[in-house]
Amino acid sequence: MTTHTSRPAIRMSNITRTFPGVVANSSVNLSVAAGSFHAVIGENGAGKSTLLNILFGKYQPDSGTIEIDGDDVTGKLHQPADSIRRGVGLVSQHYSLIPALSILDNLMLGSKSTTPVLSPRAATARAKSLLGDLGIAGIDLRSRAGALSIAAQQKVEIVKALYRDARILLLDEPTAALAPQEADALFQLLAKLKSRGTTIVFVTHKLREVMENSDTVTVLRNGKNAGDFITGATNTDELLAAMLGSRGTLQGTVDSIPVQSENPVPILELQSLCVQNARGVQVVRDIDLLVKRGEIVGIAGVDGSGQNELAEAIVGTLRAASGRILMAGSQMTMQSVAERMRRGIAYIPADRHRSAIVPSFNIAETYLLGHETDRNWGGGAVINWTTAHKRAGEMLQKYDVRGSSRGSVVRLGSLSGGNQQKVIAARALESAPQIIVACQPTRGLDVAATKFIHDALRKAAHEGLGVLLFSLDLDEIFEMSDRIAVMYNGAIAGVLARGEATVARVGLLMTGGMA
Amino acid sequence: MSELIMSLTWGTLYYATPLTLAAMGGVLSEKAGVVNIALEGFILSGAFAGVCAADVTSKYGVIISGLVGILAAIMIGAVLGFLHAFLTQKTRMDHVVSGLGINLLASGATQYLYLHEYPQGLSVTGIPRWMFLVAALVLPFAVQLLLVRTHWGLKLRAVGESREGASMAGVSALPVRFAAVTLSGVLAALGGAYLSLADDHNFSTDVSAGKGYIALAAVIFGKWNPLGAAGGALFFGFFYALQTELQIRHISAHFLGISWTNSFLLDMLPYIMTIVALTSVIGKAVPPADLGKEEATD
Repeated sequence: MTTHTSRPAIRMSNITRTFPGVVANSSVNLSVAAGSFHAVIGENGAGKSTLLNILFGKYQPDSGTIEIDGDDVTGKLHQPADSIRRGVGLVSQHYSLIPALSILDNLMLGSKSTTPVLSPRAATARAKSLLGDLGIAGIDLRSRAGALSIAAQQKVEIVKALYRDARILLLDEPTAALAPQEADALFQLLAKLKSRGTTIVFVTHKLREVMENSDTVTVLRNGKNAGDFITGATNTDELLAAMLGSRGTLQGTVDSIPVQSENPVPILELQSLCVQNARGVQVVRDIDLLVKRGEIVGIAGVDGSGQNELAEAIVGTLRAASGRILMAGSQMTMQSVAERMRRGIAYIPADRHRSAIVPSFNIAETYLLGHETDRNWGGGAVINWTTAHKRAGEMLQKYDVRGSSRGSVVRLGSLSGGNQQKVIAARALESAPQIIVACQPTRGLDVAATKFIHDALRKAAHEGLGVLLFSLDLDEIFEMSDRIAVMYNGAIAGVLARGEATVARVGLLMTGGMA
Repeated sequence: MSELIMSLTWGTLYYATPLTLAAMGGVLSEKAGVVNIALEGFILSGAFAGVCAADVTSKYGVIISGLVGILAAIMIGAVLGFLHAFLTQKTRMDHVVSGLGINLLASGATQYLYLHEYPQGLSVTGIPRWMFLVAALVLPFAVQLLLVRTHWGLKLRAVGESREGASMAGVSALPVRFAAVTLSGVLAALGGAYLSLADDHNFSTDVSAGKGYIALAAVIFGKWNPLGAAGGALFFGFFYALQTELQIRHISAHFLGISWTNSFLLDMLPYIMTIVALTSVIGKAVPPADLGKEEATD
C-alpha cells in the first residue's frame, strides 16, 4: 500500500469565498499528498469548514482552482454528488445521517446503482464486510440512524463515505462531541484507513490531536493561510502562534486557576431528581447535586447524556418527574419559570438561536424579555423605552458588545455569535441572580469572546453566586470548575473535586466506566 | 340487513376511491417534504377538465371520450402539481399559501368556465366506476413498494426527512420534489375525474366538497404510510356511505337528544368524523422532519 507519495490528492489554489459581509476564505491554498494524514487547524471562523465544504461541492468558490488526483475540477463541483463521484467523502460537523431512516437506507441513499430497484441484501453484505474490515462491531444496520450514539453515528458516516468508494476522507471537527476514549478509537480507525491508502484531511482546533496523528498541517487564520508545517518538524507553540497571530499572547493570560470557594453555603440542591423528555422517556435519573455559593460546578458528559434536560428541569422549562429542587434551602420543584427567575435563577441556554434570542428584536427589546415588569429595565404596564434603551446602552458598554454602532436599536440577528452571547450573558448576570445555569456558554465563540464569558462567570462566582456550567468541551470544564460532575446516561457517574480530576478519569466516567 | 351491509360496503369502496387516489398523491408529496393542501384544487380541476374533454370528444364514441377525459385530468393535474412544486421550491412560497392559492384558482376558474361554457349544464357517458376502484385498490400497494423498494422512493423519503442530509449524501432535493408533487397532482386529479366521469357523469361547481382536505386527513390518519392512508380513506369513505344510507332509508336515529335524521346534520357526519379521527391520532403521528420547511439559505 502506498503511504507517502508526493503526488497531491488535493490541490486547492487561491480559493476565495465570501458570504454576505464575511470573507470566509481569501486566496487560500491547500495541498495534500495522496495517502497522507493532513490536519487543517485554526480558530473558530478561520475558514476551515468553508474550505472543506468547497472541496465537497457544498459551497462554490468565488475564485481559485481545485484539482483532485491531478484532474482540474475547477467549476465542476456544483453539489456534493459531484465530489462524491470523484472519490471525496465528508464527515461533517453536523452529522448528516437522516435520523428517521435506517442505517442501511442511509448507506444506500444516493449510492451508485444500475437498477431502479433497491437491493438491500447486496447492500447489507457490502456494509457488513466494510464494518468487519474496519473492526466496527455492535451496529445493527436495520436500526434507525437517529437511535445511535454520536460516536456510532460518526463511524457510520465514515462507513458511508467508504461505501461510495471514497479515497479522500474529509473530517470536520470529528472529536468535538466525543469522549476522550471515543476519540482515541476514532484515530485508530483513521490510522487503519490511512494504512490502506486513504487520504485523510482533518479539521480541528485541538493541537494535541494534530501533534499525535497528522503528517502535515495547514494553519488558517481569519480566512487566510498562516503557514504549512510538517508535524514532525514543528511543535505546539509554533502552531499556536500561527493560529493566533499577533494575539498569540492572549492564550497565556487566561487565568486557569479557578477561584476556590470559601463560603460553602448551598444555594442549589437537587435531591433524587428524575426528568422525562417529551416522549415520556426517563432521561435524567436520580440526580443528587449540590451547588454552593462562590462555586463553579462543571457538568461534563458526552452529548445527549441528559445535560439539556437536567438544565431545563432546574430552570423550569421541563417539569421534574420526581425528586426535589431546593433553592437556598426551600422548595422550588413545582414553581414556574418566572417564579424561579424571580428567586434568582439565571439561564444561558445551550442553543442560543432556538432558546435565547429573537433575532428580529433589537438589543433593548432583548433585555426587556424576562424583565417586562421591572421598572429598572424600562418595564411595567407601559414600557418606558427611554429607560430601556438607556439601560441597554449601559449594558453594551459594560459587556463590550461590538458591532452595534447604532447602539441598542441594532437587531440581535445582525450581531456576530460572540456578541450575541455577550448580550445573553449580560441579561443573565444583570438580573441579580443567586445562581447561573450556563449551558455551553462559549460554543462557537472565538478565543477573545470565550475569555470574556469565562471571566464574567468567574467574577460572578467570586461575588458569591453559584455557577452550574454545562459543557461538552472538557478543556472548558477543567479550566473553570471547582468540582466536576460527570453525567452518563442520565445519571451522575461521579463527582470529582478539582484536585482529583484527570482527563482520563473524567473520560472513563463519561463513557460509563468506573473511575 | 345483509342488503344494507352490501350497499354500505360498496358505498364505502366507491366513496373511498377518490379519497384514496388523492391521498396517495398526498403521501408522495408530503413524504418528499411538500405540504399539500392543494389536493382539493387538483381534484376540482381534474373533475372539470375530465368532463370537459369527454364532452368535447363525445362524438368519437364512449371509449375515446373516456380516455381523452382521463388524459385531460392527468394533464391538468400535472400542470397544477408542477405549479405547486415551482411555487414552494423555486419561489420558496409558504406551502400552505401556495396550496390555498391553487385551491382558490381552481374553484374560481372551474366555476367561471362551467357557468360560461355550459349554462345548460352537461352530461357525459363517462367511465365505469370499477375501473377507478381497481386503480384505488392497487395504488396503495404500488406506492408502498415505490417508497420502500426503489432508489427513487428512498431518495423521496430522504429529501422529506432532511434536505440537507440528502444533499450531503449526493441527492439533490429539487428533481425529486418536483416529480413527487407533479405526480401528486396527477393522482388527485384522477380522483377528481372519478367524481365527474364515473360518479356524476356531469360537473357541478365545488364538486370536490372538501375531499382534498379529507384525503390529506387520511394521510395524517395513516401516519404518512400509503397503506395507512388508504385505511384512512376507507374509514372516511364509510361515513360518507353511512350518511347516504341513513338519508336514503330514512333511518331515524336519536342520540344526545338530536334527531340525526336531519339531512344537514347527516351531511356533516364525514367531516365530524374527520375531526374526531385526527384529534385522536394527531398527537402520535410524526410527520416527515423537513415537511413544509423552507429551503435553507446559505
